[in-house]
Order: sequence, then C-alpha cells, then structure tokens
Amino acid sequence: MARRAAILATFLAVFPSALAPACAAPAGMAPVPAGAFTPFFKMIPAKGQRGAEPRPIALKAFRLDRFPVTSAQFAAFLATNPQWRREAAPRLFVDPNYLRRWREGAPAAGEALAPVTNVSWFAAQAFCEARGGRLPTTDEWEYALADAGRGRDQVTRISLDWFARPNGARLGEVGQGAANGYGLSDMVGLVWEWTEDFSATGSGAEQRNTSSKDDAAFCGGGAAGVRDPADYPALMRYALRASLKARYTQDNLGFRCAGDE
Amino acid sequence: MLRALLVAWAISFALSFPVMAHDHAAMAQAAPSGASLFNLPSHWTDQNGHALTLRDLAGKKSVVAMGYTSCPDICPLIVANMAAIEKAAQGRGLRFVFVTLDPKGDTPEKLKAYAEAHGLDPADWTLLAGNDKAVRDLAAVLGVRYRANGEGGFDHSALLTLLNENGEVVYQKPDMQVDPADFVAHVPH
Repeated sequence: MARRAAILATFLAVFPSALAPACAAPAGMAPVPAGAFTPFFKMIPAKGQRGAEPRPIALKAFRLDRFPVTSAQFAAFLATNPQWRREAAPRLFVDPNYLRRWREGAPAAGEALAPVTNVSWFAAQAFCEARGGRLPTTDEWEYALADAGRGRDQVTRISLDWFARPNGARLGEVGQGAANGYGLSDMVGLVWEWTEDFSATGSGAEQRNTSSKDDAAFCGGGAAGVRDPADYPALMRYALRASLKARYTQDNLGFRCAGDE
Repeated sequence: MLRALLVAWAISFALSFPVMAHDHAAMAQAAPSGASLFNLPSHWTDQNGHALTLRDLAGKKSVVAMGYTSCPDICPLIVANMAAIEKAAQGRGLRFVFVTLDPKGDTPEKLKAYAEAHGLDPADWTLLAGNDKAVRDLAAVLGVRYRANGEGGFDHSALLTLLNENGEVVYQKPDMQVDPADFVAHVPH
C-alpha cells in the first residue's frame, strides 16, 4: 500500500495535469467578479430593538476553484506535507474520522477524482495555504453560488434532490454537472464545503448568555432572523456551518480553495 | 543506622532540586501532546511588546478568553469573571490570558492601557495580539465563534477556557454565569 501511495505521489508530481477531472472542463480557479452581496442573516439587534434588515456588502473580485478539491489532489498534498497524514495529524486539528477511509496516504480505490471528504477545517486550510490560497469566506462562497441571480431555481432543485438522497451513497466524481455562470461546478449536490469563517454563523447574541431570555437570542437563532425564510437550502447550509467545529470531519464535507485577484 | 538514613535523605533532597529544574525545562521544551494548544505555531505580541508563542505559556495553568478592548458590554464581564477567578484561586499559580479579536485596533499599547485601567496584575495577566490568521486559528481550537458586526466591533462567544501546564483544555465555561469557586474546583492539582 505504501508503494501505491508513492507511485501515486510521483505520478502526480510528474503529471500535475492528471489532477484535472476526467471531464474536459479546464482545471484551476475561475475568476469571480467584484459585486454586492446581501448577507443571509439580519443584523443582531441591540437589546429591545428589532433586527435590522441586512445591507448589501461589497465584495472584491476573487478566484475560486472550479471544482471541489479531489482526493487525488489531497494525496499529492499529503506526499509533501506528511504531518497532515491520518496517523500524524494532531488531534487538536482533526477528529477520529479524519481521512477514515484512507490508508498509507492514499484514498480508497476508485475515489481519486471524487471530492476529498472527512477533512477538518484545519486540514482544508493547510491544503489551500500550501497552494498559496485560502478558504473562501462564507460571503464569497454564497456570492459565487448566487451566480448573479442566474439559475437560482436550478440551485434549489439540485439542493432539494440532494437532500432527498439517502446518506451512504458513494460520492461521484467532480465536474459531472454543468458549471454556473462563473464557471464553477458542484457548488451544491455533491458535498458540503468548508468556508474560512464558518464559525461566524452562530456567533450572535445567543452565544453571549446561553440562559438569556432576550428576544434577540430567539430571533437570531430562527428563521425569523434571515433574509428569505423560504430559501430552505440556504437555511440548511447556514445551519450546517453553525453545527460545525473546526476539527470535525464528515463523509460529505469537503472544500475548495479561493485566492485574491 | 539512623545516621545513614539521614545522610541518604539529605543527599536525595539536595539532588532533587536540579532534577526538578531539569524536568521543568524539559517539559517546556518537550513536544506537545496531540491535544495541546501548543501545536499552534502562531506568533503573538503581549501588552509589553514582547514576542511570544503559545508554548511560552507552558509550565503554568492558564485561564484563556477572547474579546477586544473597545467591546462595550460582554468583554468587561469576561474580564471581571476572570478577575473573580483570580481572587478565588489565590495561591494556585494561575495565569490569565486575554486575547484580542481585534488585532488591528488593539495594539500592545492599547492592551497595556486596558490592563492598567482594569487593575490587572501584570505578574498574572498576559494580553495578546496576533495577526488575523493567528486569531482565527486560536478561536477555532477553542471553539470561540465570532464575526465582525459591521460597526467596528465583533459578535463573539463568551467562553472561558482552562488549560493545564501542557496547553491541554481541561475545562470550558461557555457563558457568563460563572461561579468563581466552581471554576477553581476544576483546576487540576
């Protein structure tokens, strides 16, 4: 098995284009233009005041991976960063399920071009930093998904179909679906994705005093505090982020990297 | 026989001092356990402008919290709770560490002024500023959730964390209902 990992790492070092998914779509990052994004949550109100409607915020142009990071890409990272292998990573940074199906630094057979999952926020961040990038912020990720208003119904349909599928099914390869208007694929429907500031969700007034009877706590924690209560897939995305801790890993939680323009 | 025992005791007693000093130094230099916060390689500056890493906290138990000095409501309560724990834990050798979530606004000078304004004993208190990544990583390992509120401040968890001498979390209090005696009861002997 160690030999197999070494062969894979050598192959990837010599033929980095092998990391591209099997489809013909170009690999690498897609440029996402600057624009305005309206956050999903209303502002946390001061005590005794109503929650303010969220105001659009300006986002600078950035770059975002066209696809979620694949297991093959992560294997190449592990070959040069062995401190992040399953048996070496400190448990401060990863939970016991980190890369749970990997052996000797290699993914399970047939999963090279599937999104890497069972990776913690720390490991995802280390991967992106090793490439000179970073994780996207939640606002950037949601802005990229919003796609300037194109294909919103499609995002909702793909998300609901995905939620309806039972867990446990083997993940498909990246790049099987159509890209959005920015050239980004698999933003929904394949894996959930880490964001740099995932922990900003759930950092409102309710965190200050868990036994508070303040109305704001309840508004901050429920659908009444969001921009569009009918946007169920968005509620699910933010609810997931609020449930995560940085060392957590999940079978269906991956990531993609971002970069500054 | 008694004389021989006394000599043996005296020799072992005398030898114990350099051995203890050696062990302490070795502990500070030894590789941290996988659960230790000392695995974070981040660099920090304290209220006196001294550079340090989290491993420099080794050797003492620490109470750690994150906030920022211009925080109008919750941070003064966090600091007040830490001060109450300090009072209740006299003689236990605790260190109190307040890490700013606002490294752009909280310079070492501001942190020092904040410490003096709140009467924080510089022998026991360390106030730290780091870059955005250092703050984000420390918040992540502690489980502190935070975000800029768009008005120059931050919404953030009010979380007190007790670390042992090796930088491992032994207790966390996630709200402001802090009973100092109860908190001190969690300090390992």
